[in-house]
Amino acid sequence: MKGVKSAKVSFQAKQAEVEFDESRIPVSSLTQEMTATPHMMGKDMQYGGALLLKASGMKAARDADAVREALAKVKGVSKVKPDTRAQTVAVEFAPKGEVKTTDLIKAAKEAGYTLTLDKTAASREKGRGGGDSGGAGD
Amino acid sequence: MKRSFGLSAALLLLAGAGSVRAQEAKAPKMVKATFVVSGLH
Repeated sequence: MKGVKSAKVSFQAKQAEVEFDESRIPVSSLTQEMTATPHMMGKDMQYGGALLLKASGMKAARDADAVREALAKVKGVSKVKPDTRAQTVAVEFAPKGEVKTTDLIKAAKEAGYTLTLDKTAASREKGRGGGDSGGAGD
Repeated sequence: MKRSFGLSAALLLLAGAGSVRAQEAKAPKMVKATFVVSGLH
């Protein structure tokens, strides 16, 4: 797939950190590709992916509802899961459609919330020997 | 290490393909994003 520079998977955190060129590949295509990846345990199982965004200021249930409502309106978004405790929001995408991170950030901003790309546990595990990761260099 | 096959291997393949073609981009907008991955064991 064009546009992907590196990918690290943390099995402990069940997260992946992917560096990619969004001018070439929308973020929704990455999760679609994860879902399409054959599972190592066989056809009965499936991988899935949701983009994790940091939602600073999303502290109350009404904030979560507002963020959910704003992101759900973005064409190509299938599911929005806000977490007020962690102040994050997980976004799943429809099998077809092209959604960029900027589309989500813009939609939230219009609703009065700031979304940023979250830093993962995969990064925090550097040097601790945790997880299982890999990547491709420049 | 068996479990490192599957998704991570696939992502690495994607990364390899991407790094080769990244030079062709006119105005690259590199993004580092976090994904919650289900189905990992």
